[in-house]
Amino acid sequence: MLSFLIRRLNLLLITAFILTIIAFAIDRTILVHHQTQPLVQQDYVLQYFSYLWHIFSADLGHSALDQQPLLQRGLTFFASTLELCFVALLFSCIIAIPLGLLAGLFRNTKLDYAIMTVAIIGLALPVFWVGVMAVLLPSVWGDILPVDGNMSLVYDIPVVTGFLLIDTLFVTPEYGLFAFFDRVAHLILPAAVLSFFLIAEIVRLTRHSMTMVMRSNYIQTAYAKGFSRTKIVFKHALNNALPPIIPQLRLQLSTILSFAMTIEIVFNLNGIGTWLFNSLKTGDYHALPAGMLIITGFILMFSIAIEIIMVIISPIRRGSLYADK
Amino acid sequence: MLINNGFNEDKIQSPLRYIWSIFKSKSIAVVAMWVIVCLILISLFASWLVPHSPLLQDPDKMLLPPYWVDGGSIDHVLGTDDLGRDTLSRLFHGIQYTLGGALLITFFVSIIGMSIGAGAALTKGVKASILHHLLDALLAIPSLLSALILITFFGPSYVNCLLAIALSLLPQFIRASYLAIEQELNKQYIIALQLDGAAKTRLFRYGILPNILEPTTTILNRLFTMAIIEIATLGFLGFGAQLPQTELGSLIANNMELIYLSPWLVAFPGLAIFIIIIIVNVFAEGLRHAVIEGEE
Amino acid sequence: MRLICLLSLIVSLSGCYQNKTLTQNTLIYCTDSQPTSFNPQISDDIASLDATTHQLFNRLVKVDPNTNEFVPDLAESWEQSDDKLRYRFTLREHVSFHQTDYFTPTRYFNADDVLFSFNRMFDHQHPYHMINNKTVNYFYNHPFTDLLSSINKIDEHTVEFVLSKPDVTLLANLAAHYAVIHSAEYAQQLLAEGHPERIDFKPIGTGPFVFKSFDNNGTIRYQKNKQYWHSISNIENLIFFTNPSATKRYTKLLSGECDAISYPAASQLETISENKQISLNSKSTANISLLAFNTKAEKLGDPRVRQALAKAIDTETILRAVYFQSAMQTDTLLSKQSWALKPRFNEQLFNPEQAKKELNAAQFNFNQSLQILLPDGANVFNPNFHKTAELIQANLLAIGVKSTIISLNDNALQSHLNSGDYDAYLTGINVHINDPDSIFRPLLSCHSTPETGNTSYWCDTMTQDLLDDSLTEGNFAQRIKNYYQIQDIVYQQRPYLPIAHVLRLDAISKSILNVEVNPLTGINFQNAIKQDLN
Repeated sequence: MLSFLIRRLNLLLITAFILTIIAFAIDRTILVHHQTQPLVQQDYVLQYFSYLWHIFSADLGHSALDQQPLLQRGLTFFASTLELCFVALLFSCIIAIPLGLLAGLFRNTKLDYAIMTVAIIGLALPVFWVGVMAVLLPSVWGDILPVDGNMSLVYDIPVVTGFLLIDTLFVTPEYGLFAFFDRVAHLILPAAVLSFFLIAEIVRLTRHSMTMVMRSNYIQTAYAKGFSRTKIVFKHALNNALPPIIPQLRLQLSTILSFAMTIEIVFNLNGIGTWLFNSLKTGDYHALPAGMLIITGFILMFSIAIEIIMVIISPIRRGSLYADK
Repeated sequence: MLINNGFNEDKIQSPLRYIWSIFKSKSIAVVAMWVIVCLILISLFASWLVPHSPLLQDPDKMLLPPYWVDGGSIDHVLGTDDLGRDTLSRLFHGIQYTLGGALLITFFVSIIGMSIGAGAALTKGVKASILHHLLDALLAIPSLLSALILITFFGPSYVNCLLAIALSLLPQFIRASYLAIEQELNKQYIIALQLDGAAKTRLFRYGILPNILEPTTTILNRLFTMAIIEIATLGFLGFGAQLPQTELGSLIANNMELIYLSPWLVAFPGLAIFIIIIIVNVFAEGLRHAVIEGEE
Repeated sequence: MRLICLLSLIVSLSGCYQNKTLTQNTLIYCTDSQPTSFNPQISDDIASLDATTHQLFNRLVKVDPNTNEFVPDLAESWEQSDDKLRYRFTLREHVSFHQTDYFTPTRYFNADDVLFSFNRMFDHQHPYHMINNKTVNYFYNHPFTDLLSSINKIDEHTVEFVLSKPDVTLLANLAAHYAVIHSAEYAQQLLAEGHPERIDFKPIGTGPFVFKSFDNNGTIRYQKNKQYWHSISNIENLIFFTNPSATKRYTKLLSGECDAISYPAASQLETISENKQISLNSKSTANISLLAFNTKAEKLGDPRVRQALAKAIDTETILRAVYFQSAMQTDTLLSKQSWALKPRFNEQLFNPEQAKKELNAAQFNFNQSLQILLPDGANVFNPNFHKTAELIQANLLAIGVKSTIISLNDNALQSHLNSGDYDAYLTGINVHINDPDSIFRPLLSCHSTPETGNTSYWCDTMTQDLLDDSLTEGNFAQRIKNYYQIQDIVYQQRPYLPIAHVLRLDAISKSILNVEVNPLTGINFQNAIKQDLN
């Protein structure tokens, strides 16, 4: 176990090292391109190490506009992005996993084709276009559901964790649960749009995984034993079909974040996407490397965490604990 | 001659021809293919096909609805925008920018990516390891973010946006093709070929390439879909095509203020993107199924 | 099935996610841009005025919106000396400044506060004079400099304004947005803390609302001033929210997340006026949208060329295609209400054939391409700069003149303007007091730079003399004559082509009553009432 962890951490360190070099390169290029003040002539290696030192002391620089520390702001915004992703993921898992399982079970039937068509449609809808078309909704259905913004402005929520769903629970003495419900209502539409893509992806993966499991020998054996189909599906197939989806989804994480960033911009949600977009628009380019480090840092950590969890829950993967390769 | 024909019945078809014959039996996919051909023709010859110039203004015919709605005119089938410019013509030019750009990206990225991926799969040692880690790092950056970073350096313009998207999609493609080849490399017939003393190029050309058709269609399809979405997204955000270029995403952004007055102007470009992606996906799915069936 | 469950969940959620009691006493105003500061003395953009003048501050006198007469505000009464040089103001007593978490007043408003507020602008030696003074043109065009000779404190509640010469505009100036009263005690405190610059960003005033917070998303929060000396506001919380997209603002108005919005998109005015839940408030202003011809540029140095180009541009179509009903066509720089307007230019200016003839006569080189410069995006002068430019481009092309459109963001635009490397520039000018000088001076004075408004680089001794003479001219008829002459010069020399006088537009939900909009000093929520329409 220990050697496995060390090996993974090693890989993590190398990747992180490359990423800091990229961030450093971006930072320097920005300085050269957009800064008027004369540069301190210094060795690039030395500069890099001082940059690295700043990163380790949790200092990614300050915004050129309002002198706020970039790391804190970036993290607060990133928390909102994660919140959106999480809600969308929850949303799409509830819908997509059953659909994917059905499609996999009844492969090449009309049901399968119908489900896959829905999945392709979800993938093909340009998210920003859906967001723009959503502004037509209030003129149709009035003030049922908000289509824009973080949450209603009547609530003044102090930032505690950055996750508004949690922060709203800190102010219950003032607003009761209204602020929380308000936040949920504001998340529904963007999360639904983000889940279009996620549903397509999860349906595909679940269907594939289910097909593979249903073809495998142990399921055939179970059939041969004369177990009923429902028992086979629920007792044997599900357990083995779902876990492989998780590492596949992890590979899609950066794409999901990409979509989430677009959606934030379209729906005016606070998030790392809006933050970077506005920073670029106002010429505050130093937010770019900071944002990049925050996002990639998260993706790396998350990947490692998933890998460890997979090793713990999946017996097949546990083999890699001992393998020397 | 006649006699010969009688014996030709059990002629063995080449694999590609066999796949093609299976593909032809899938009517939806064939329809999709023809639509794709039409779209490509549109994007190649948009300037000759359109009824009006996309920039021609007409102060007397501003904001006409499509012709099937009251007040529309057959002269402007999909209506006009706020300066009296023909929506259909602008849409055709938009398809030229968006679809054409995506095709270019797909073409170049697949060639470059495939060769790097194959090179990485066929070599071992430090070089492959460095590439591996570099890919790991680059893949952790969301493609939209890397495109934004590149655009910041290049400056926003259509060509720069294509370049930025190509570069941001390249790592994903390299990784995907690398994985596909890697998987194939471990199979026994490849090992047999290697034992036969086949050179690496020969190994790739005759051993691997024909057998990774199925994953290749999937990753090409994905690459193309992402390219379309990103071109349109960057255009929408104002970092891609600049006015007066009529890229589909920027068309949506520029007509956003008119959405209550003439929703068509926002709806049509979005639908165009939607249809392009659907059609290509249907075609690719059909092709993939044909390849799978052909292999079985 | 799941979908139905989801839908029913959404509907049940939407029923309860709004907190009625809280929304009832909160008013949300969605604006198009953020204020540049919270002091109308140093910022005269519309967003800053809206966010400050009537909400946070009071002035000595104000203009009654109904009768257009001067009525007391912080001054209870005033009298004029016989030589018309001295105005003596009796100040209101027991007026308290805002109490916030960053300032607690220890005394009531008195003459020191008046002195501080005016001396900051007036006295160059004042410690606050240079604070937040970013440009050399600080207080440019400022009326008090020539108007006043001194301000004296007579006693705690009496101040005397001494004029340098008899002038009737003192009261108008005191009712203008830049005459707001700040707290001298707060200024002292900030000086002691070493952060005098905060005075313009963490404001303290005497107005009906107290500043609470301003975050970088563009949300400004105010609270009701419970110690307000006049009738206390009905609104508990006032919130300003910035969203640059007019469509999004309108959407939020429809979904009930905004109670009022500034500048709804011009293209949506028709839809808005059909909506029974929303009232559209439009006020004509002197703000003007114009095309500046760079008179120092080689290509447009010849007045005949500028004349001809002005004739080629179809402003009527621009008005119809870009402004819809949000502006009024104009052919002069002055608004229809101005007393100095020369009622003459009635002939149809647009005449492409004539324009072409004149260009040929002026031996214009048709091979060169004109550079039309414009800001990207939109602002209050123009709902869509690029669209306007495209129309102008098409107009010019119709007479054979080629042009390129250069759309730039603010920073790039400033440097481009200062370098003078452009032929024409699409812009506009904000007018804050009803005086012709406030339009002509920034646009035409030799001392005005592109940054302060003279984007045509116009400099002409005759115009300059007329401008300077009119300021000191005692004879009103002569003043009018001077301004007529300036209008003639503009007409003949064409440094500018006026396109439209823009309206100030606000769309306000019908549930909100008593919102007053003053096109010169900003919006006023002091008396607003929010009713429950359900």
